[in-house]
Amino acid sequence: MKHYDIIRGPVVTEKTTLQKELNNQVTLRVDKRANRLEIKDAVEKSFNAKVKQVRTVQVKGKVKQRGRIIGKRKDWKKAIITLMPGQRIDFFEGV
Amino acid sequence: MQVKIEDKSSVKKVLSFEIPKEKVAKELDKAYNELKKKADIKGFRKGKIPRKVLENRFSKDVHADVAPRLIQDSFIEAIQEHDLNIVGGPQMDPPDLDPEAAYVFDITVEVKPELENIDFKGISLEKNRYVVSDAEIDGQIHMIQKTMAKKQKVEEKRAVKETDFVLIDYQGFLNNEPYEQTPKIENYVYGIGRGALPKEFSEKLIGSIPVQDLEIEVAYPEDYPDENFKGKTILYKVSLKEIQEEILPDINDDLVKDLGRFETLEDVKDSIRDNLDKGNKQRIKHELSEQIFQHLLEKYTFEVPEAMIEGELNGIVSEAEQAYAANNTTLEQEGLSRDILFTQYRDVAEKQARRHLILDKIITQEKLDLTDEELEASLGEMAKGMNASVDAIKNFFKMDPKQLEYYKHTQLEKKAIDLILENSEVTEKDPDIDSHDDDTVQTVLSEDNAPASEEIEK
Repeated sequence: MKHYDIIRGPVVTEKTTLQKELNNQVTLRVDKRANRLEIKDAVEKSFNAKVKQVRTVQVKGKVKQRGRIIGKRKDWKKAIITLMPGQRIDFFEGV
Repeated sequence: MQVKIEDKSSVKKVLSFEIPKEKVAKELDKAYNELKKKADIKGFRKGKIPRKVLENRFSKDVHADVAPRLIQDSFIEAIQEHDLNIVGGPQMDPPDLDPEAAYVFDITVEVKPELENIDFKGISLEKNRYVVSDAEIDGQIHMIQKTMAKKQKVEEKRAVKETDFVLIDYQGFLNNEPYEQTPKIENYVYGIGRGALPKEFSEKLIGSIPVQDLEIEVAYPEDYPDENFKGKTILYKVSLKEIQEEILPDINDDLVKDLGRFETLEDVKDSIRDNLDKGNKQRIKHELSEQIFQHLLEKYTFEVPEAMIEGELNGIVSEAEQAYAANNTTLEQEGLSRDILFTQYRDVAEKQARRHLILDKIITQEKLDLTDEELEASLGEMAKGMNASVDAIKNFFKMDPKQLEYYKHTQLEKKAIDLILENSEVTEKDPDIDSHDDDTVQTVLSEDNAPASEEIEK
């Protein structure tokens, strides 16, 4: 798995914007199979920024029901990445 | 706010604005706070969206919203502060708003020129003494007679003459087949040489004796406007059924009774005379004001704002368009276009603009004002002219106060003209013969001044 396959996109919510502003953390949607080390590597290569810490969460897809038809949204992995002090990812500044 | 005014000419000014940074920031804050309440972005609760996110997403919209507001506010303020009399729309090319800096932009406007006081007293004018002649009245009566004419069958067997009407049936054939564009028409009354049928009809019919069948061949030219006939040769089979003569009614009281509103011939004559009289009065007024402006425009030169000329031009051209539309054609069908008219009527428009400016100046100079009674009276007159009630007209103006302002202004201009007339030296003279249209009147007045005044002395 190449580093550009790991990162799927940003997670932009109230919570993540707060975390970015207060703790210099950015949040990404990542490939379920990737582990913290791979994510750290991918972020450093893709965004050219030093990463201090990566924490991951397995997010369970919501179960959606419409009438008798029951569906399930995909599970995904969320990565909360703490950057080294002073580091920033421009991509997130522009969201 | 800072404004610098630079004069490009007496009617063109460039206003340079500088809106301080703080003011810009304040306006932006206001806009963002407003937006915060309304914006709905996924991942955020309503009203809880951080300013940064809003800026990222909506800065373009917000700037596009705030910049014109800033421009408008400061523009209005500047107009009031410097007492500018703007005509037309301002021209500008505003730069993008930068939240971190003062907002600097230029606006080019045209203003009404400042005229010096106009001395309109003692202009010498010549007034034509138009008298309604009996011949004119008789002419009108004759027209009435014509319209009341009746057609009567000619019993005697004779050939068709040029003044006759004929009763015919006709049908057109193309290549010996009945042509669907020319179906059989029965009992058509055709005035020789006057009707809508091709001229071949008249030529062939004159000299023919009813009852008989004729064949008339009409070759339509290549440039005939109707597609269905262009370049075709159509054979009309015509049956001439009878000759009719136009019988003119006698001119007497009976004739006028048929008109409805009148009792005797004298009544009609009086009414015609009144009408002609009214027309003459208007003509005199028109001629006099024509002279006034010729004089004033020569005496006072000033620059006219482009916007005013364009306004007048637009008025002229849309009037022309309406006139064409009333005749069921368009400018394009007549081989004209707005552009052609614009160049053609530019001079006229400029003159009109100048007139308005002069009258404006006189209105302010003499502090003319329209009293409520005067307004009332003129509205009443207008109501009479339009066959409507005064209330209806008042209602119309109430709905559109701008129109009322405009109307008041035209009334004031009328008053100004009256004022000039009162203060002019008017000499009367007999009209030159054949000066029935206004153009000749004007040239006569400007070129033949000398002989005209001689006449007066005599």
